[in-house]
Amino acid sequence: MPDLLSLLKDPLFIDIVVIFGVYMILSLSFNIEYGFTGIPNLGKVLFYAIGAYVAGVIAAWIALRIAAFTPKTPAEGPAYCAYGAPQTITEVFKTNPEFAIGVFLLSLIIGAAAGAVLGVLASYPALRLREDFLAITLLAFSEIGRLITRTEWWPVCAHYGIRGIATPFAWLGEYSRTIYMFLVLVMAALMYLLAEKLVNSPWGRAMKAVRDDELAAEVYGKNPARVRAQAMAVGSAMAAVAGTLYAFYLGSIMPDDFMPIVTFLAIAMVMLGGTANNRGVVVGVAVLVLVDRLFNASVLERKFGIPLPDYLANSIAYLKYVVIGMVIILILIFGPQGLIPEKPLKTPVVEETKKRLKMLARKES
Amino acid sequence: MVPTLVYTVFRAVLDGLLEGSLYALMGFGLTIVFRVTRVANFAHAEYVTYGAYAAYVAMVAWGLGLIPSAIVAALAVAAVALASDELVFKPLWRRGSTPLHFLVASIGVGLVLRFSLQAVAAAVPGYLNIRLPRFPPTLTVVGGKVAINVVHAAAPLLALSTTVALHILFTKTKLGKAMRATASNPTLARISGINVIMVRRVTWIIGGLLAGLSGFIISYYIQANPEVGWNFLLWMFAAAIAGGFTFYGTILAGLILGIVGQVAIILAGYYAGITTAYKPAIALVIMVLVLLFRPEGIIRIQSLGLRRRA
Repeated sequence: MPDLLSLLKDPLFIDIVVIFGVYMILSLSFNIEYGFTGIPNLGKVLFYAIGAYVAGVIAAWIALRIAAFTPKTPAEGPAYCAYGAPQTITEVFKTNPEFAIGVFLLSLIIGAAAGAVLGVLASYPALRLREDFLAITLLAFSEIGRLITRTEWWPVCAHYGIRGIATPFAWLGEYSRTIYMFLVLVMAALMYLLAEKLVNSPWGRAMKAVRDDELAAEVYGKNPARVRAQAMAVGSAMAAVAGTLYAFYLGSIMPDDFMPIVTFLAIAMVMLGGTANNRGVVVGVAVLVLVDRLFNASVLERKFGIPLPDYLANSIAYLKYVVIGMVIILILIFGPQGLIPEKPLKTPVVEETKKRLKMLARKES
Repeated sequence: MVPTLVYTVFRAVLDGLLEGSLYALMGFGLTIVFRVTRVANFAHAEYVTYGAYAAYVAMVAWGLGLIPSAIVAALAVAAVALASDELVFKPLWRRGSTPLHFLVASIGVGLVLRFSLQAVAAAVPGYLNIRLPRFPPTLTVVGGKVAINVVHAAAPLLALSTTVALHILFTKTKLGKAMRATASNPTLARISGINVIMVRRVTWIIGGLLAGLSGFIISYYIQANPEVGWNFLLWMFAAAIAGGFTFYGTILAGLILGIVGQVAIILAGYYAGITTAYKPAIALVIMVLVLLFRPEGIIRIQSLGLRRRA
């Protein structure tokens, strides 16, 4: 099947699938916080960036250790910011399978842990502030984070970014990115199952209770502060995993990849699909990732042979954000529930009762 | 011989006063809209950008003079602000959305406004970075080092006269009193026979006018690109939050924030070697600290007997 094989190697196809997986994890994590717990985490991109930078720093540092790299010209910041370092890092990825896979797993674990810790810290204002002020505070956190990564050479190479990271399968050669694509999909599926499991557990019901009526939740013995902190921990750890996956795919981690627009994109995906409905999120992510990747002049022209007039070629990348903004507005005005609305609770007891009621009804008729 | 640092700080205070006036004008628009309609409006940043571009188009494409360009900028942005309320926020309000929905919707409005402007600016040559072709004249040079520009005087004067005008509006006119009534209790205001819809419209227009004027000053003295308003967003929120969303508190907080921000970053650079890249962090940190420890604001001026309701 030469067609399928060439599709699997097609960079655009891989790109769309990987970005789909990454944004799915990111949106699911936003859904846990915003949809189920009612925390408007406008600082989502901060936790995503944490995952990416942890991966970048760990991978670059260990790779240069293995290669015994010393920069020829002394540079600002750590050795991996130096000239020639990115090539060395990529070379280590290509020649050392144990390193590549090991560092990937290590980054996932440390990134998720760092995300969770930071999430708990960031949940502190969530206990004190009204929703809209909380949203602004978290946005401010993410902007402070971006300012630091833009300015500091230790440990993140400022605007130069951390470069030269490859996928954990780079040593496999030709199909490495295809295999990584499947790995990202598997991770996204796992995260989906995890999110579903969590929100349908007693803890998930506690989250919804805190979201709908904090006082009532407290009366029934739930601690809203703790539930919020836990939701932020889980959500932020997931976002960090998404960041790690993205870092190993993209290979270079730049501060300006982590603008608030990433958060807004995740918001639009969750709202389009259906707030507090994970299945809806999958739909929302699929639609908006296609918009995000296909509103691209070179893709449209080279790949699909759609000629664009000059003025459109320059501005089409911006038009996609206009579409995303419109999606947010239209959804809020015409159907705040999204494409697939929130489902009622699913617990064993409810399911069993439903089944019995059905049987009873059948017997009577 | 006066040491150089004195001149540097003097310059910082001057620039800070200019910036602070802008924060005050922008923050006031944010506050008045928030108080009357409960919209924490992220799109307010985009209004400022639109003001800068409207002034540029008026001057360069239509060949208008300085004052007419400023008026065009203010009116154009007032129209944009009014349209965003009529098309987005009022329908949301009708269907009983929460403040959080307003906020998220305003992000959507901001995205639409910012990136449609960016798309146009990318397509039209010469519109990605703009500055009005007339540079404001220098008034005087202090000590041969610090040039005081017309704008350094004009911006604070504008902020001051706006405050006076608004004070007259709020205390002497029926409309202003209706706005205050709506701000403090919309339901009661409506029962008392106040035309809440009209009040809404006027509120958005005032917010838009002020944002348009600040945009004009930015493209006149500083420089503008499609993201210029976004860079001011957290500053104006910081001013509004530090002012506890009280009308005069926001204006004063904006002025202070401008001066403190400018002077602090100069001194931090001088003594601690911190780069000016961290300047936005001052606004962010002040805002977060105020929200966490004194969410009711630090500079609250309630001479009108206005209280912010939790």
